[in-house]
Amino acid sequence: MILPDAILAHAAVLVVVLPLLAAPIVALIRDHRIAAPLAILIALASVVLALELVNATWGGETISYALGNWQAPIGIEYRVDLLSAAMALLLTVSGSLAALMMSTAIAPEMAPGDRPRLYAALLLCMSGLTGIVVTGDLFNVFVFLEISSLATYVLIASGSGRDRRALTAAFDYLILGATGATFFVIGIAFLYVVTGTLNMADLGERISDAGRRAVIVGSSFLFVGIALKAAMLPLHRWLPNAYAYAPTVMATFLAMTATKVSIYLMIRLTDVVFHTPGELGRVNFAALMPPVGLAMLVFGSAIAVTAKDLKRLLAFSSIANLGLMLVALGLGGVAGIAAAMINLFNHAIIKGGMFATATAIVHRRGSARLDAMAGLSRQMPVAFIFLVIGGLALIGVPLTAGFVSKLSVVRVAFDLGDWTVAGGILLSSLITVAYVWRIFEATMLAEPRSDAPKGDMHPAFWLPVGLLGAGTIVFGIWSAPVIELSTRIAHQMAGVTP
Amino acid sequence: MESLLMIGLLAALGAIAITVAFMSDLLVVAMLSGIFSFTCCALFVLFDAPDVAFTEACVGAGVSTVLTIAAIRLVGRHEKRGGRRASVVGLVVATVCGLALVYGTLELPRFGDPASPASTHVAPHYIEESKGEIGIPNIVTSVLGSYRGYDTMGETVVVFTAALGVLILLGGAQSRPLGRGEAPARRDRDVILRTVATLFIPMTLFLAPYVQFHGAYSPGGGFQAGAILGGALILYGLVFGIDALNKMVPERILRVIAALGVLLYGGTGVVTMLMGHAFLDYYAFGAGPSGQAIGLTAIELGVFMTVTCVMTLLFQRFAIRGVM
Repeated sequence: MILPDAILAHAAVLVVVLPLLAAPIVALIRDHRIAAPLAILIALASVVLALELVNATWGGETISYALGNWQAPIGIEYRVDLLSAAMALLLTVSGSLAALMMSTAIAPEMAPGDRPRLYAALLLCMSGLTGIVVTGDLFNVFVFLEISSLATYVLIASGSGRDRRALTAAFDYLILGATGATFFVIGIAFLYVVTGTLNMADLGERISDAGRRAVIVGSSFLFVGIALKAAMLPLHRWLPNAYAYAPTVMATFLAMTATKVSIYLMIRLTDVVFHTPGELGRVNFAALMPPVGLAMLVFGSAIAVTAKDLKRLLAFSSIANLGLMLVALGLGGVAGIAAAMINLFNHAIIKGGMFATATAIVHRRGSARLDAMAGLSRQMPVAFIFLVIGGLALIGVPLTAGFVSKLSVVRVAFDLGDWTVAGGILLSSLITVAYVWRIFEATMLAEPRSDAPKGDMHPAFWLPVGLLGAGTIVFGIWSAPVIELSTRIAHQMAGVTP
Repeated sequence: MESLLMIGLLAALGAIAITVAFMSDLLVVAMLSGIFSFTCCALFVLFDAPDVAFTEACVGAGVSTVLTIAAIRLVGRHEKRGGRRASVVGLVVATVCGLALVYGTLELPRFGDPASPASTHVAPHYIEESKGEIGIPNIVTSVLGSYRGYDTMGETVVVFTAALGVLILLGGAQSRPLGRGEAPARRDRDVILRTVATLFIPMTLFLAPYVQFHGAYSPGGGFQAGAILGGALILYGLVFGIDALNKMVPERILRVIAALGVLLYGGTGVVTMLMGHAFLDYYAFGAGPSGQAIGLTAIELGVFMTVTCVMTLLFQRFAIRGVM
């Protein structure tokens, strides 16, 4: 659209490499007042590149880029379709919003000398996750999974300036994440031994001749590895603490992206490698997803009701929403994938908005504990309004993006006559009312503290919070863009023209 | 004979792993993990993967054992009583995973089977064409540096990210006077240690560039050479004291070189791009093997810089850290 052709030709690789190579430079800059704007600039440039990718793949085209000019399967291939491009856009936008807030948000909890390195870690995390979604090579997925995971541990652990428990949260995730990565790489090894290739498309073609047992075991290991990263029940244990103790601004980024990329991997692998949407290697994992997803939906919502901390409440709510995405995926078909993608995008906006608001609150008041939020509705009215918007969207009130999300899944369930799923979603919405009410109760009804710090949101948070909050409303009223994008993606995945 | 040796080594691995699970003395656990890594090295050699054995010996057995012990120095050597108990569920899950692996493995082609998919699909291209396309005899280096050079760049970034994390988490560490029992080797007492180190370190300093530049012909390359040089510097710090090491290679210089290594690798790709080729297409520097040679030399140097500096930096950060 706006970039010269010379850059456009490399957009697929630049969107990953630009933040990846900017990170060491940012880390070296001593003055955090220079490092922060540079990081923001790089993240925004990545958004432009991702936009170009979406533009180039909108009509169903696929961009293939041979790294080192070695054609796949000899070399590594970047393969970008609309799903990859849309995910890249989500990741880079999330990264940019976090980058816009981070220098203000992190100021009270981190020494100035260490901040540039944290900004670099955010860029590395964003770049690693983007690398996962644009590549067409299974081992390359693993390499970038390592980059993003390592950067994620750093982002979580850097919350130790405010609460030392961030260190144990990061360590827990490190051990579990490393276990998940090991399962993932064992799965790759099995598939490689029986097909002789690492390119996903090539793998998909050769897998029908491969030994049955090896494919079953390999795909099972792959699935468990991804499920852990997706915080699928019962492998969700790392998520609540990670989100609760990470610096809130980094939790915002992670809530918008990290688990979503695992959902992406599930869709990509079932489609490209195993050709049967919802099935991994002749084992029907799709059958597993609706019950597990429903359990996550109800369980996540129920625990959220008991949370005493806004960030932890939002974390459990995320588990519930991930459950909803898994339910949609498990229902299968074009409509199921489309519903999962609608949920994925909308949830990133809603939960991103709530976490961004939480960032502003923690920055002003030093805590996200619910009992410390008394009087928030009067002392920070703007932040309160955005919490209300997000809360209503989580419940699924009409005219919010959350309504569109839930409706899309319920519709698929109705069409299939799956009353358990439809009922489960309605039940969880009722529980959601309870935990969203707890936020209102804490912020509106409790007796305000007289010694609470004065002032509303810091101006640095206006743009991210405002954009995400506006997105929650706009995509609730004018739902066409998200639905159109998700439907196009689902059609491309299923290989049918709309 | 070879298979007997392999069975013996695998049995040893199993025995070590089980022993580690039952030990509560962390120092012993660290030592046993070092032995575990060395046993792995022997296995890798038997599998004709000397490159991997090299790295495992340096990083797994050497550097990571030292780092673990440096951490144990900070947290104390004994496991806390009343920690989490071993659970039946955990045992069941581990057993199921193990059985699944065995079940899947039984059907795999035999090791080294020339008719297996892994040996008939892309591998023949690497074996037959790499001499003409890349121009060096060591196929492993061709694959890691050129055919899949982008993965290797990613791995270099992983190493860099690890350093970044340690720098953030152990930031603002204060140097402190050494306590009893942790002084570096003393001139009057540890004659053997000092003599051996004095002999060893210069030899290692020669070995590292050899492994680096001979990577085209024999097992080796940037990762291995970096690990060797990093290991030598750590040995120097262990024997002659962290202050001597800091004086020789100050941390801020290491930080800069570690970042420059990543930039050199990625920069090579950016340059090929600016010259109108694909990212990391070394033919931009010249047709045929000559272009590949330039590209490979540049990226291997980048890997070497990053790995050496990160290894040393990790050790420094742990070693100057005071007891909490």
